[in-house]
Amino acid sequence: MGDGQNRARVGKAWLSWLTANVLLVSAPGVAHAACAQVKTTSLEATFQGTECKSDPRSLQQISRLDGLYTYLTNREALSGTLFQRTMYGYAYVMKSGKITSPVFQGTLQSVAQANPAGKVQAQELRQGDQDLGFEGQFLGDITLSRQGEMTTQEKHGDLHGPSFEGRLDAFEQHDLAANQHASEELRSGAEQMGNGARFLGDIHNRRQNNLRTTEKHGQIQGPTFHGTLNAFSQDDGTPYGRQSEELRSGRETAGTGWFEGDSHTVQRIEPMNTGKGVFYRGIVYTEKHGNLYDNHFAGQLHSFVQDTGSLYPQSDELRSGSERVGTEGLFYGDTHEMRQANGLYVLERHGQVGSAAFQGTLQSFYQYDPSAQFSCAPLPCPSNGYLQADYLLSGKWPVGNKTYVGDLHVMQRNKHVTVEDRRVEAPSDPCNVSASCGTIGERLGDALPPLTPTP
Amino acid sequence: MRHARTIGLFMLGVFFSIPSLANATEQRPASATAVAAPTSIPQADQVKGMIKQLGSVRDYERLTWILAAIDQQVPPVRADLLKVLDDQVQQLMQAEVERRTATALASIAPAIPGSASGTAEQAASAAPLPAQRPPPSMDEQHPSTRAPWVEAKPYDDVVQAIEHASFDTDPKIRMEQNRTLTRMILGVENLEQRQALSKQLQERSAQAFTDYVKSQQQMNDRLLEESGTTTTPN
Repeated sequence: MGDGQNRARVGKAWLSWLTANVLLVSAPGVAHAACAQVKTTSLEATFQGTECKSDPRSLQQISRLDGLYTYLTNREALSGTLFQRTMYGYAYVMKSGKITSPVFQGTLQSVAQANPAGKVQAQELRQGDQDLGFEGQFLGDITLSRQGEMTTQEKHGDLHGPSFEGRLDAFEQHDLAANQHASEELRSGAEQMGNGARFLGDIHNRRQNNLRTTEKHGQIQGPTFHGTLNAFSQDDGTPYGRQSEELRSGRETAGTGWFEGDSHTVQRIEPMNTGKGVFYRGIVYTEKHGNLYDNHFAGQLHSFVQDTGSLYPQSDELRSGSERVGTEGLFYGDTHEMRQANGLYVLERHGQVGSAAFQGTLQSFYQYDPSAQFSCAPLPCPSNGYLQADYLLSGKWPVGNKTYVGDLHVMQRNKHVTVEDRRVEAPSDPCNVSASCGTIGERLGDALPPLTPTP
Repeated sequence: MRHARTIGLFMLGVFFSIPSLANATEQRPASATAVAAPTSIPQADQVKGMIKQLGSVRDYERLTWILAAIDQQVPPVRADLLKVLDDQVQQLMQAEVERRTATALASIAPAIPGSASGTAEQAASAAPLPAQRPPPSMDEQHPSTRAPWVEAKPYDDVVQAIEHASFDTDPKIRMEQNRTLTRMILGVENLEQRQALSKQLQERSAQAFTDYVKSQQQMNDRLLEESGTTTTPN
């Protein structure tokens, strides 16, 4: 990540700066050189316009330098005060002033000390404007510290970048000796999610060595979704160690219409032992509960889909509401549609149908199993697969001036279709002439919302 | 079939009886007590009273009574009563759907850490029947902007916690203190308040560090003053 690179860059610059300064006062020769030699130049720094006070009689060397210092290693310039003191091999350095560098502009306050064994304890506060490359600009406070091999960095401020705009609170800790790294970051503001979508809320990033987790909570305002997002993701640094889970509540576009409700998505990679070795596959599991409105359907939707990248995603869907069937018919009731990984497909309907040709109830069951084997002996089977369908219609069929009432049962087994027709001609139907009854078609029409979905 | 509404109401019953959709714990409503079929033609008000008593779309006995009674009315009264019945059934259906969606959501919610709290209420408010309620605005749908898995913290408590924080001079301890405070800030309900608290923490922490550096500088100045000889470099 760019942020990490920048952090590493700043961290490295800071460490070299600190080392330079501590060495400057602790190295034999330099410390005893007094002000005359300190003021001009060294391997690491150039001092200009310095003033120095020292006490050469005692073992102590104390100097205070005011002016402009340029550190060659990191091209950082400090305009302010540098205080140095050495005593029995201990070295103390304090700095304060204005600082400018290619990546930072602002003020600096720092306190550092080194013991005769070279162990460093230091901390500093930078307040100002940090350049984070493509992540943008950070305006705020950066606290850095070093205790021996342990370094910390803390940030509090505002981040203005192309992808994020808002508050940033960050904590980072490195144990250089043990090669351990832990960081935590809280962002609160607006994030661009691509495709014109905008996220407004909190982002909580955590990292422990190679394990990274992210939690998000807030609102998404975007062209395809409006609503609340609660998300969690994790990556342990291995090629198969990624997983994520999110719950969205709101309205999303779906085909020609929209879905409003809750979507729950889980993504992970899991191992599969095939007997010939283990391979990994990605799994996306999505569950939806809510209302769906589009050109074909208006009503409740409950769906469960599991996609493992196989030929047929597994899905199970329940719809309750009004649906357009055929060219001019309306169905009002429940539909259950299911597809399994082996290709088995089931479509089941229970409800009412209103159309010009038929008004009444429909019970249907359609099943197709592409992998089913069935006996065609003695002839060879043309292909595998088994189709079974049953349609039971009960109601009335207006044909010209006449009306037929009763049941019609259509059964299909592969290519064999059987029809049981138990319909009789109705003498007369008062609802055909009385306006107060209304037709089923009209009633169902009432139940359907307008075909143009509200944006 | 005598007329379409009979089918409609019957189908509602079927809809709510489908096992795959129905909640396993559902009980037959207590209001479904035996109701005798009307012996004489009931008055319209009497029928309306019976409709109001309808406690569930599965109160079949009462429904049968109502339908039989409506069938015996003259057309204008019948239309009026059918309208009353329609409204009542719509209300019952909406309540049923909301309750069921809430149950379905509650069953999936615990998958998100800590999100179980308040899901039923959110679900109920977020699941209107299609054409009956306009989609809720985002404000009324989600009055709180705090992540549901974070422990709630009153704004004033966090203000006080930051105000009274010690901001240790040991950088590692101070970072842990600040991290704890930052996590507390996450529990405040309002996004603007969280950002303001983050700013407050930044200022207090920086002030504490500045004070520490200042005390060190004063000590340095004193040491320098006491050190005697002053050499000014050329």
